[in-house]
Amino acid sequence: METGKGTLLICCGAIANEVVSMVRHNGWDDLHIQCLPAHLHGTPKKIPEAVRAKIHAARGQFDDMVVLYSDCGTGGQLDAVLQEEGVDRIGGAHCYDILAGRDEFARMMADEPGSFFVTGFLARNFDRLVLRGMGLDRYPHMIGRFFRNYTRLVYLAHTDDPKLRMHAEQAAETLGLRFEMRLVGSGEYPQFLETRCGLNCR
Amino acid sequence: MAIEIDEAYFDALAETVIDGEDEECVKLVNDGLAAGVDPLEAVEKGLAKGINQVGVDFGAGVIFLPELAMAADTMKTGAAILDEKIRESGSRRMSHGTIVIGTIKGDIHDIGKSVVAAVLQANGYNVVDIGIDVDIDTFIQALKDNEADVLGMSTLLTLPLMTMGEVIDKLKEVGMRDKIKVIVGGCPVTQEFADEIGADAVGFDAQDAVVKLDGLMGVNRVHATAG
Ligand code: B12
Repeated sequence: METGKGTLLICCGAIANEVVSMVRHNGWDDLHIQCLPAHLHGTPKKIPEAVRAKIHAARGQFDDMVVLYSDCGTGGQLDAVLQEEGVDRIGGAHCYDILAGRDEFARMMADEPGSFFVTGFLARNFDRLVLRGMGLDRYPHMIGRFFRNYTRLVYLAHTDDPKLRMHAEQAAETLGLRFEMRLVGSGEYPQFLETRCGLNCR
Repeated sequence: MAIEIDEAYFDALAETVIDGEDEECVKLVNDGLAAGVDPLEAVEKGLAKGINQVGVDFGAGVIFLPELAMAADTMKTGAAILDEKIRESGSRRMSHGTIVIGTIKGDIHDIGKSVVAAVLQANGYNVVDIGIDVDIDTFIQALKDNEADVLGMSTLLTLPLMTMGEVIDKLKEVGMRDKIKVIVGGCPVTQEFADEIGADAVGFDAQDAVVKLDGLMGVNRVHATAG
Protein backbone atom coordinates (compact mmCIF):
# COMPACT_ATOMS: atom_id res chain seq x y z
CA MET A 1 0.00 0.00 0.00
CA GLU A 2 1.31 3.43 -0.99
CA THR A 3 1.20 5.89 1.88
CA GLY A 4 0.86 9.64 2.29
CA LYS A 5 -0.51 10.07 -1.19
CA GLY A 6 -3.68 10.91 -2.99
CA THR A 7 -7.34 10.85 -2.03
CA LEU A 8 -9.27 7.77 -0.95
CA LEU A 9 -12.78 7.32 -2.31
CA ILE A 10 -14.88 5.10 -0.09
CA CYS A 11 -17.80 3.82 -2.11
CA CYS A 12 -20.55 1.23 -2.25
CA GLY A 13 -19.70 -1.95 -4.17
CA ALA A 14 -22.88 -1.40 -6.20
CA ILE A 15 -21.31 1.58 -8.01
CA ALA A 16 -17.74 0.26 -8.13
CA ASN A 17 -17.76 -0.27 -11.91
CA GLU A 18 -18.98 3.22 -12.61
CA VAL A 19 -16.46 4.82 -10.24
CA VAL A 20 -13.47 2.77 -11.41
CA SER A 21 -14.12 3.46 -15.07
CA MET A 22 -14.75 7.17 -14.42
CA VAL A 23 -11.45 7.47 -12.55
CA ARG A 24 -9.56 5.62 -15.33
CA HIS A 25 -11.26 7.51 -18.12
CA ASN A 26 -10.28 10.85 -16.57
CA GLY A 27 -6.78 9.76 -15.71
CA TRP A 28 -7.28 10.71 -12.07
CA ASP A 29 -4.28 8.74 -10.83
CA ASP A 30 -4.30 10.35 -7.39
CA LEU A 31 -7.69 8.90 -6.57
CA HIS A 32 -7.74 5.49 -4.87
CA ILE A 33 -10.91 3.46 -4.53
CA GLN A 34 -12.02 1.17 -1.72
CA CYS A 35 -15.46 -0.42 -1.69
CA LEU A 36 -17.77 -1.81 0.94
CA PRO A 37 -19.87 -4.86 0.05
CA ALA A 38 -22.87 -4.05 -2.15
CA HIS A 39 -25.16 -6.22 -0.05
CA LEU A 40 -25.00 -3.66 2.80
CA HIS A 41 -27.64 -1.93 0.71
CA GLY A 42 -30.24 -4.29 2.14
CA THR A 43 -29.27 -3.50 5.74
CA PRO A 44 -28.73 0.27 5.75
CA LYS A 45 -28.45 0.44 9.54
CA LYS A 46 -25.06 -1.32 9.19
CA ILE A 47 -23.64 1.16 6.66
CA PRO A 48 -22.52 3.97 9.04
CA GLU A 49 -20.32 1.75 11.23
CA ALA A 50 -18.93 -0.11 8.20
CA VAL A 51 -17.91 3.24 6.67
CA ARG A 52 -16.40 4.30 10.00
CA ALA A 53 -14.31 1.10 10.11
CA LYS A 54 -13.02 1.81 6.59
CA ILE A 55 -12.11 5.37 7.57
CA HIS A 56 -10.23 4.16 10.66
CA ALA A 57 -8.36 1.50 8.69
CA ALA A 58 -7.27 4.05 6.06
CA ARG A 59 -6.40 6.91 8.37
CA GLY A 60 -2.91 8.26 7.83
CA GLN A 61 -2.48 6.45 4.54
CA PHE A 62 -3.97 9.13 2.29
CA ASP A 63 -3.90 12.92 2.09
CA ASP A 64 -7.67 13.09 1.99
CA MET A 65 -10.81 10.93 2.08
CA VAL A 66 -14.23 11.32 0.44
CA VAL A 67 -17.27 9.07 0.84
CA LEU A 68 -19.28 8.30 -2.28
CA TYR A 69 -22.33 7.08 -0.41
CA SER A 70 -25.62 8.94 -0.35
CA ASP A 71 -27.80 8.80 2.79
CA CYS A 72 -28.89 5.37 1.54
CA GLY A 73 -31.73 4.92 4.04
CA THR A 74 -29.54 5.46 7.11
CA GLY A 75 -31.83 8.25 8.29
CA GLY A 76 -28.98 10.71 8.79
CA GLN A 77 -26.87 8.22 10.77
CA LEU A 78 -24.18 8.12 8.09
CA ASP A 79 -23.89 11.90 8.26
CA ALA A 80 -23.62 11.73 12.05
CA VAL A 81 -20.69 9.28 11.77
CA LEU A 82 -19.00 11.32 9.04
CA GLN A 83 -19.30 14.47 11.11
CA GLU A 84 -17.62 12.71 14.03
CA GLU A 85 -14.87 11.48 11.73
CA GLY A 86 -14.47 14.78 9.88
CA VAL A 87 -15.03 13.23 6.45
CA ASP A 88 -17.53 14.49 3.83
CA ARG A 89 -19.69 12.71 1.27
CA ILE A 90 -21.52 13.25 -1.99
CA GLY A 91 -25.14 14.32 -1.39
CA GLY A 92 -28.31 12.60 -2.50
CA ALA A 93 -30.76 10.08 -1.15
CA HIS A 94 -29.30 6.94 -2.77
CA CYS A 95 -26.99 5.94 -5.61
CA TYR A 96 -29.75 5.82 -8.27
CA ASP A 97 -30.49 9.46 -7.42
CA ILE A 98 -26.88 10.44 -8.17
CA LEU A 99 -26.41 8.13 -11.15
CA ALA A 100 -29.53 9.29 -12.95
CA GLY A 101 -28.98 12.88 -11.79
CA ARG A 102 -31.22 14.22 -9.03
CA ASP A 103 -33.58 16.23 -11.21
CA GLU A 104 -33.93 13.44 -13.73
CA PHE A 105 -34.53 10.86 -10.98
CA ALA A 106 -37.28 13.01 -9.47
CA ARG A 107 -38.82 13.44 -12.92
CA MET A 108 -38.83 9.70 -13.64
CA MET A 109 -40.42 8.93 -10.26
CA ALA A 110 -43.08 11.60 -10.79
CA ASP A 111 -43.79 10.39 -14.36
CA GLU A 112 -44.09 6.78 -13.33
CA PRO A 113 -44.11 6.01 -9.58
CA GLY A 114 -43.80 2.30 -10.38
CA SER A 115 -40.23 2.61 -11.68
CA PHE A 116 -37.58 0.17 -10.51
CA PHE A 117 -33.95 1.05 -11.26
CA VAL A 118 -30.97 -1.16 -11.96
CA THR A 119 -27.34 -0.32 -12.61
CA GLY A 120 -25.11 -2.51 -14.78
CA PHE A 121 -23.68 -4.08 -11.64
CA LEU A 122 -27.11 -4.82 -10.25
CA ALA A 123 -28.27 -6.24 -13.59
CA ARG A 124 -25.25 -8.56 -13.78
CA ASN A 125 -25.71 -9.66 -10.15
CA PHE A 126 -29.49 -9.59 -10.21
CA ASP A 127 -30.02 -13.15 -8.98
CA ARG A 128 -27.49 -12.84 -6.17
CA LEU A 129 -28.23 -9.32 -4.94
CA VAL A 130 -31.89 -8.74 -5.72
CA LEU A 131 -33.51 -12.18 -5.66
CA ARG A 132 -31.28 -14.01 -3.17
CA GLY A 133 -30.61 -10.79 -1.23
CA MET A 134 -34.28 -10.50 -0.34
CA GLY A 135 -34.92 -14.25 0.04
CA LEU A 136 -36.97 -14.35 -3.17
CA ASP A 137 -34.96 -17.30 -4.51
CA ARG A 138 -36.59 -19.39 -1.77
CA TYR A 139 -40.04 -17.94 -2.41
CA PRO A 140 -40.18 -17.19 -6.15
CA HIS A 141 -43.98 -17.00 -6.02
CA MET A 142 -43.50 -13.83 -3.93
CA ILE A 143 -41.70 -11.94 -6.74
CA GLY A 144 -45.08 -10.82 -8.06
CA ARG A 145 -46.13 -9.71 -4.58
CA PHE A 146 -42.97 -7.64 -4.03
CA PHE A 147 -43.20 -5.96 -7.43
CA ARG A 148 -46.98 -5.73 -7.79
CA ASN A 149 -46.93 -1.93 -7.72
CA TYR A 150 -44.17 -1.64 -10.31
CA THR A 151 -44.63 -1.09 -14.02
CA ARG A 152 -41.19 -0.54 -15.57
CA LEU A 153 -37.56 -1.40 -15.02
CA VAL A 154 -35.23 1.47 -15.87
CA TYR A 155 -31.69 0.40 -16.67
CA LEU A 156 -29.34 3.26 -15.77
CA ALA A 157 -26.62 2.32 -18.24
CA HIS A 158 -23.09 3.51 -17.67
CA THR A 159 -22.10 2.46 -21.21
CA ASP A 160 -23.98 0.82 -24.03
CA ASP A 161 -22.71 -2.68 -23.29
CA PRO A 162 -24.90 -5.30 -25.06
CA LYS A 163 -24.16 -7.97 -22.47
CA LEU A 164 -25.21 -5.81 -19.54
CA ARG A 165 -28.23 -4.65 -21.46
CA MET A 166 -29.20 -8.30 -21.96
CA HIS A 167 -28.88 -8.94 -18.20
CA ALA A 168 -31.07 -5.91 -17.50
CA GLU A 169 -33.65 -7.07 -20.04
CA GLN A 170 -33.69 -10.50 -18.41
CA ALA A 171 -34.20 -8.90 -15.01
CA ALA A 172 -37.18 -6.95 -16.37
CA GLU A 173 -38.61 -10.16 -17.77
CA THR A 174 -38.18 -12.01 -14.46
CA LEU A 175 -40.02 -9.21 -12.68
CA GLY A 176 -42.67 -8.89 -15.38
CA LEU A 177 -41.83 -5.22 -16.01
CA ARG A 178 -41.51 -3.11 -19.13
CA PHE A 179 -37.86 -2.47 -20.02
CA GLU A 180 -36.32 0.95 -20.58
CA MET A 181 -32.70 1.99 -20.88
CA ARG A 182 -31.21 5.41 -20.06
CA LEU A 183 -27.61 6.12 -20.90
CA VAL A 184 -26.47 8.09 -17.83
CA GLY A 185 -22.69 7.73 -17.91
CA SER A 186 -21.31 8.33 -14.42
CA GLY A 187 -24.15 10.62 -13.40
CA GLU A 188 -23.25 13.38 -10.96
CA TYR A 189 -20.10 11.64 -9.67
CA PRO A 190 -17.57 13.32 -12.02
CA GLN A 191 -18.85 16.86 -11.39
CA PHE A 192 -18.79 16.22 -7.66
CA LEU A 193 -15.18 15.01 -7.73
CA GLU A 194 -14.14 17.83 -10.01
CA THR A 195 -15.40 20.40 -7.54
CA ARG A 196 -14.52 18.55 -4.37
CA CYS A 197 -10.99 17.46 -5.34
CA GLY A 198 -10.10 20.26 -7.74
CA LEU A 199 -9.84 17.92 -10.74
CA ASN A 200 -10.62 18.31 -14.41
CA CYS A 201 -12.93 15.99 -16.34
CA ARG A 202 -11.81 14.75 -19.76
CA MET B 1 -67.31 -33.63 10.31
CA ALA B 2 -67.45 -30.40 12.29
CA ILE B 3 -64.20 -29.34 13.86
CA GLU B 4 -63.69 -28.84 17.56
CA ILE B 5 -63.11 -25.27 18.77
CA ASP B 6 -60.34 -25.71 21.30
CA GLU B 7 -56.76 -24.61 21.93
CA ALA B 8 -55.54 -26.87 19.11
CA TYR B 9 -57.88 -25.05 16.70
CA PHE B 10 -56.56 -21.61 17.66
CA ASP B 11 -52.96 -22.86 17.47
CA ALA B 12 -53.60 -24.26 13.99
CA LEU B 13 -55.04 -20.90 12.94
CA ALA B 14 -51.95 -19.11 14.30
CA GLU B 15 -49.78 -21.56 12.34
CA THR B 16 -51.49 -20.66 9.05
CA VAL B 17 -50.40 -17.04 9.62
CA ILE B 18 -46.88 -18.05 10.63
CA ASP B 19 -46.59 -20.21 7.49
CA GLY B 20 -48.33 -17.64 5.26
CA GLU B 21 -50.88 -20.24 4.13
CA ASP B 22 -53.72 -18.11 2.78
CA GLU B 23 -55.94 -20.93 1.56
CA GLU B 24 -55.49 -22.98 4.70
CA CYS B 25 -56.27 -19.92 6.79
CA VAL B 26 -59.49 -19.19 4.90
CA LYS B 27 -60.52 -22.84 5.19
CA LEU B 28 -59.87 -22.96 8.94
CA VAL B 29 -61.66 -19.65 9.49
CA ASN B 30 -64.70 -20.84 7.54
CA ASP B 31 -64.70 -24.27 9.24
CA GLY B 32 -64.41 -22.51 12.58
CA LEU B 33 -67.31 -20.18 11.81
CA ALA B 34 -69.42 -23.17 10.72
CA ALA B 35 -68.60 -24.81 14.05
CA GLY B 36 -69.64 -21.68 15.93
CA VAL B 37 -66.32 -20.07 16.79
CA ASP B 38 -66.54 -16.57 18.22
CA PRO B 39 -64.95 -14.48 15.42
CA LEU B 40 -63.40 -12.17 17.99
CA GLU B 41 -61.72 -15.05 19.72
CA ALA B 42 -60.49 -16.37 16.38
CA VAL B 43 -58.75 -13.04 15.73
CA GLU B 44 -57.29 -12.68 19.18
CA LYS B 45 -56.29 -16.25 20.03
CA GLY B 46 -55.49 -17.36 16.49
CA LEU B 47 -54.46 -14.76 13.89
CA ALA B 48 -53.06 -12.28 16.42
CA LYS B 49 -50.94 -14.90 18.09
CA GLY B 50 -49.49 -15.89 14.71
CA ILE B 51 -48.62 -12.40 13.47
CA ASN B 52 -47.14 -11.35 16.82
CA GLN B 53 -44.90 -14.40 16.71
CA VAL B 54 -43.78 -13.65 13.16
CA GLY B 55 -43.05 -10.02 14.08
CA VAL B 56 -40.79 -11.15 16.90
CA ASP B 57 -39.11 -13.80 14.70
CA PHE B 58 -38.33 -11.27 11.94
CA GLY B 59 -36.93 -8.81 14.47
CA ALA B 60 -34.69 -11.59 15.74
CA GLY B 61 -33.52 -12.40 12.20
CA VAL B 62 -34.99 -15.91 12.26
CA ILE B 63 -37.18 -15.60 9.16
CA PHE B 64 -36.86 -14.06 5.68
CA LEU B 65 -38.61 -10.96 4.35
CA PRO B 66 -40.97 -12.89 1.99
CA GLU B 67 -42.13 -15.00 4.95
CA LEU B 68 -42.96 -11.85 6.87
CA ALA B 69 -44.86 -10.42 3.90
CA MET B 70 -46.74 -13.70 3.43
CA ALA B 71 -47.75 -13.75 7.11
CA ALA B 72 -49.01 -10.15 6.99
CA ASP B 73 -51.06 -10.92 3.87
CA THR B 74 -52.54 -14.09 5.43
CA MET B 75 -53.47 -12.20 8.58
CA LYS B 76 -55.20 -9.59 6.44
CA THR B 77 -57.15 -12.21 4.44
CA GLY B 78 -58.33 -14.09 7.55
CA ALA B 79 -59.15 -10.93 9.49
CA ALA B 80 -61.27 -9.58 6.61
CA ILE B 81 -63.63 -12.58 6.83
CA LEU B 82 -63.79 -12.47 10.62
CA ASP B 83 -64.28 -8.69 10.77
CA GLU B 84 -67.19 -9.04 8.36
CA LYS B 85 -68.81 -11.59 10.72
CA ILE B 86 -68.16 -9.37 13.72
CA ARG B 87 -69.88 -6.48 11.94
CA GLU B 88 -72.79 -8.68 10.80
CA SER B 89 -73.38 -9.87 14.35
CA GLY B 90 -73.77 -6.22 15.34
CA SER B 91 -71.17 -6.53 18.05
CA ARG B 92 -68.20 -4.19 17.82
CA ARG B 93 -64.74 -5.53 18.23
CA MET B 94 -63.27 -3.99 21.36
CA SER B 95 -60.96 -1.45 19.83
CA HIS B 96 -58.29 0.74 21.35
CA GLY B 97 -58.86 3.22 18.54
CA THR B 98 -59.04 3.60 14.77
CA ILE B 99 -55.85 4.21 12.81
CA VAL B 100 -55.66 5.26 9.18
CA ILE B 101 -52.32 4.08 7.80
CA GLY B 102 -50.61 4.49 4.43
CA THR B 103 -47.31 4.95 2.60
CA ILE B 104 -46.76 8.59 1.71
CA LYS B 105 -46.92 10.04 -1.82
CA GLY B 106 -43.75 9.33 -3.80
CA ASP B 107 -43.15 5.91 -2.22
CA ILE B 108 -44.63 2.54 -3.08
CA HIS B 109 -42.78 0.32 -0.56
CA ASP B 110 -45.59 -1.50 1.23
CA ILE B 111 -44.30 -4.47 3.23
CA GLY B 112 -43.32 -2.60 6.41
CA LYS B 113 -46.56 -0.62 6.40
CA SER B 114 -48.64 -3.80 5.85
CA VAL B 115 -46.83 -5.57 8.71
CA VAL B 116 -47.48 -2.65 11.05
CA ALA B 117 -51.14 -2.66 9.96
CA ALA B 118 -51.47 -6.40 10.63
CA VAL B 119 -49.74 -6.26 14.01
CA LEU B 120 -51.78 -3.25 15.18
CA GLN B 121 -54.95 -5.01 14.10
CA ALA B 122 -53.83 -8.10 15.96
CA ASN B 123 -53.34 -5.98 19.04
CA GLY B 124 -56.82 -4.54 19.18
CA TYR B 125 -56.67 -1.49 16.93
CA ASN B 126 -59.17 -0.90 14.16
CA VAL B 127 -56.91 -0.43 11.13
CA VAL B 128 -57.81 1.23 7.85
CA ASP B 129 -54.96 0.61 5.40
CA ILE B 130 -55.25 3.10 2.55
CA GLY B 131 -52.31 1.74 0.58
CA ILE B 132 -49.31 3.37 -1.07
CA ASP B 133 -48.38 6.65 -2.78
CA VAL B 134 -51.05 8.41 -0.69
CA ASP B 135 -51.34 12.17 -1.13
CA ILE B 136 -52.13 14.75 1.56
CA ASP B 137 -55.84 15.19 0.77
CA THR B 138 -56.47 11.45 0.62
CA PHE B 139 -55.01 11.05 4.13
CA ILE B 140 -57.19 13.87 5.48
CA GLN B 141 -60.34 12.56 3.79
CA ALA B 142 -59.74 9.01 5.07
CA LEU B 143 -59.28 10.32 8.62
CA LYS B 144 -62.62 12.11 8.37
CA ASP B 145 -64.48 9.24 6.68
CA ASN B 146 -63.36 6.73 9.29
CA GLU B 147 -63.62 9.06 12.30
CA ALA B 148 -60.07 8.01 13.05
CA ASP B 149 -58.11 8.64 16.24
CA VAL B 150 -54.66 8.04 14.78
CA LEU B 151 -52.80 8.80 11.56
CA GLY B 152 -49.96 6.42 10.65
CA MET B 153 -47.56 7.38 7.85
CA SER B 154 -44.80 5.24 6.40
CA THR B 155 -41.91 5.87 4.03
CA LEU B 156 -38.66 4.08 3.30
CA LEU B 157 -37.44 6.73 0.86
CA THR B 158 -35.69 9.92 1.91
CA LEU B 159 -37.11 12.12 -0.86
CA PRO B 160 -40.81 11.99 0.19
CA LEU B 161 -40.02 12.50 3.90
CA MET B 162 -41.02 16.17 4.01
CA THR B 163 -44.49 15.36 2.70
CA MET B 164 -45.17 13.74 6.07
CA GLY B 165 -44.68 17.16 7.67
CA GLU B 166 -47.02 18.70 5.10
CA VAL B 167 -49.79 16.25 6.07
CA ILE B 168 -49.39 17.33 9.71
CA ASP B 169 -49.50 21.00 8.66
CA LYS B 170 -52.70 20.29 6.76
CA LEU B 171 -54.21 18.62 9.83
CA LYS B 172 -53.57 21.82 11.75
CA GLU B 173 -54.97 23.95 8.94
CA VAL B 174 -58.28 22.06 8.90
CA GLY B 175 -58.49 22.10 12.70
CA MET B 176 -58.06 18.33 13.20
CA ARG B 177 -54.61 18.16 14.77
CA ASP B 178 -55.89 18.21 18.39
CA LYS B 179 -58.10 15.18 17.79
CA ILE B 180 -55.62 13.02 15.86
CA LYS B 181 -52.47 11.35 17.18
CA VAL B 182 -49.74 11.01 14.57
CA ILE B 183 -47.28 8.12 14.43
CA VAL B 184 -44.64 7.77 11.70
CA GLY B 185 -42.16 5.10 10.66
CA GLY B 186 -39.82 3.66 8.01
CA CYS B 187 -36.03 3.33 7.83
CA PRO B 188 -35.10 6.99 7.22
CA VAL B 189 -37.43 8.20 10.01
CA THR B 190 -35.65 9.13 13.24
CA GLN B 191 -36.91 10.50 16.55
CA GLU B 192 -35.33 13.86 15.67
CA PHE B 193 -37.17 13.95 12.36
CA ALA B 194 -40.48 13.02 14.04
CA ASP B 195 -39.94 15.86 16.53
CA GLU B 196 -39.05 18.27 13.74
CA ILE B 197 -42.30 17.69 11.83
CA GLY B 198 -44.38 17.57 15.02
CA ALA B 199 -45.43 13.89 14.99
CA ASP B 200 -46.40 12.37 18.34
CA ALA B 201 -44.33 9.21 17.99
CA VAL B 202 -42.12 7.12 15.74
CA GLY B 203 -42.35 3.33 15.56
CA PHE B 204 -39.06 1.58 14.76
CA ASP B 205 -40.73 -1.77 14.14
CA ALA B 206 -44.20 -3.25 14.45
CA GLN B 207 -43.90 -4.20 18.12
CA ASP B 208 -42.54 -0.75 18.88
CA ALA B 209 -45.54 0.71 17.02
CA VAL B 210 -47.86 -1.13 19.44
CA VAL B 211 -45.89 0.09 22.47
CA LYS B 212 -45.83 3.71 21.25
CA LEU B 213 -49.47 3.73 20.20
CA ASP B 214 -50.55 2.16 23.50
CA GLY B 215 -48.66 4.98 25.20
CA LEU B 216 -50.47 7.62 23.13
CA MET B 217 -53.89 5.99 23.60
CA GLY B 218 -53.45 5.20 27.29
CA VAL B 219 -53.62 1.41 26.86
CA ASN B 220 -52.02 -0.64 29.65
CA ARG B 221 -50.69 -4.12 28.88
CA VAL B 222 -47.58 -6.27 29.01
CA HIS B 223 -45.70 -6.06 25.67
CA ALA B 224 -43.88 -8.89 23.85
CA THR B 225 -40.18 -8.32 23.19
CA ALA B 226 -37.88 -9.73 20.49
CA GLY B 227 -35.13 -12.19 21.32
C1 B12 C 1 -37.75 -4.86 0.21
C2 B12 C 1 -37.20 -3.58 -0.35
C3 B12 C 1 -37.66 -3.17 -1.60
C4 B12 C 1 -38.71 -3.93 -2.39
C5 B12 C 1 -40.10 -3.42 -1.96
C6 B12 C 1 -41.19 -4.46 -1.98
C7 B12 C 1 -42.48 -3.91 -1.46
N1 B12 C 1 -43.55 -4.32 -2.10
O1 B12 C 1 -42.53 -3.12 -0.50
C8 B12 C 1 -38.31 -3.52 -3.83
C9 B12 C 1 -37.21 -4.44 -4.30
C10 B12 C 1 -39.43 -3.53 -4.85
C11 B12 C 1 -37.70 -2.13 -3.56
C12 B12 C 1 -37.65 -1.11 -4.48
C13 B12 C 1 -36.92 0.06 -4.29
N2 B12 C 1 -36.17 0.38 -3.23
CO1 B12 C 1 -36.19 -0.64 -1.58
N3 B12 C 1 -35.77 -1.65 -0.08
C14 B12 C 1 -36.23 -2.79 0.37
C15 B12 C 1 -35.48 -3.20 1.65
C16 B12 C 1 -34.39 -4.19 1.29
C17 B12 C 1 -36.34 -3.77 2.76
C18 B12 C 1 -37.61 -2.97 3.06
C19 B12 C 1 -38.59 -3.83 3.84
O2 B12 C 1 -39.64 -4.20 3.35
N4 B12 C 1 -38.20 -4.20 5.07
C20 B12 C 1 -38.99 -5.06 5.95
C21 B12 C 1 -39.98 -4.24 6.74
C22 B12 C 1 -40.73 -5.11 7.72
O3 B12 C 1 -39.23 -3.27 7.45
P1 B12 C 1 -39.47 -1.72 7.22
O4 B12 C 1 -39.94 -1.46 5.87
O5 B12 C 1 -38.30 -0.96 7.73
O6 B12 C 1 -40.71 -1.43 8.19
C23 B12 C 1 -40.61 -1.57 9.60
C24 B12 C 1 -40.21 -0.26 10.30
O7 B12 C 1 -39.52 0.65 9.48
C25 B12 C 1 -41.49 0.26 10.84
N5 B12 C 1 -42.38 1.04 9.96
C26 B12 C 1 -42.44 1.15 8.63
N6 B12 C 1 -43.46 1.93 8.27
C27 B12 C 1 -44.09 2.33 9.36
C28 B12 C 1 -45.19 3.16 9.56
C29 B12 C 1 -45.63 3.42 10.85
C30 B12 C 1 -46.82 4.28 11.06
C31 B12 C 1 -44.94 2.86 11.96
C32 B12 C 1 -45.38 3.14 13.32
C33 B12 C 1 -43.83 2.03 11.77
C34 B12 C 1 -43.41 1.78 10.48
O8 B12 C 1 -42.19 -0.93 11.17
C35 B12 C 1 -42.01 -1.86 10.09
C36 B12 C 1 -42.26 -3.27 10.56
O9 B12 C 1 -41.29 -3.73 11.46
C37 B12 C 1 -34.89 -1.80 2.07
C38 B12 C 1 -33.65 -1.83 2.93
C39 B12 C 1 -34.01 -1.98 4.40
N7 B12 C 1 -33.56 -3.01 5.03
O10 B12 C 1 -34.77 -1.17 4.92
C40 B12 C 1 -34.68 -1.12 0.71
C41 B12 C 1 -34.72 0.41 0.62
C42 B12 C 1 -35.83 0.95 1.48
N8 B12 C 1 -35.04 0.64 -0.78
C43 B12 C 1 -34.41 1.64 -1.29
C44 B12 C 1 -34.48 2.05 -2.64
C45 B12 C 1 -33.54 3.16 -3.06
C46 B12 C 1 -35.38 1.46 -3.52
C47 B12 C 1 -35.52 1.77 -5.01
C48 B12 C 1 -35.46 3.25 -5.40
C49 B12 C 1 -34.37 0.96 -5.64
C50 B12 C 1 -34.43 0.68 -7.09
N9 B12 C 1 -33.54 -0.20 -7.45
O11 B12 C 1 -35.20 1.21 -7.85
C51 B12 C 1 -36.88 1.12 -5.32
C52 B12 C 1 -38.06 2.05 -5.12
C53 B12 C 1 -38.55 2.65 -6.40
C54 B12 C 1 -39.89 3.28 -6.27
N10 B12 C 1 -40.54 3.45 -7.39
O12 B12 C 1 -40.33 3.65 -5.20
C55 B12 C 1 -33.50 2.33 -0.28
C56 B12 C 1 -34.08 3.65 0.22
C57 B12 C 1 -33.02 4.73 0.41
C58 B12 C 1 -33.66 6.01 0.83
N11 B12 C 1 -34.08 6.13 2.07
O13 B12 C 1 -33.84 6.91 0.06
C59 B12 C 1 -33.34 1.19 0.80
C60 B12 C 1 -33.10 1.71 2.22
C61 B12 C 1 -32.15 0.33 0.32
C62 B12 C 1 -30.86 1.11 0.25
N12 B12 C 1 -30.03 1.10 1.29
O14 B12 C 1 -30.57 1.70 -0.75
N13 B12 C 1 -37.23 -2.08 -2.31
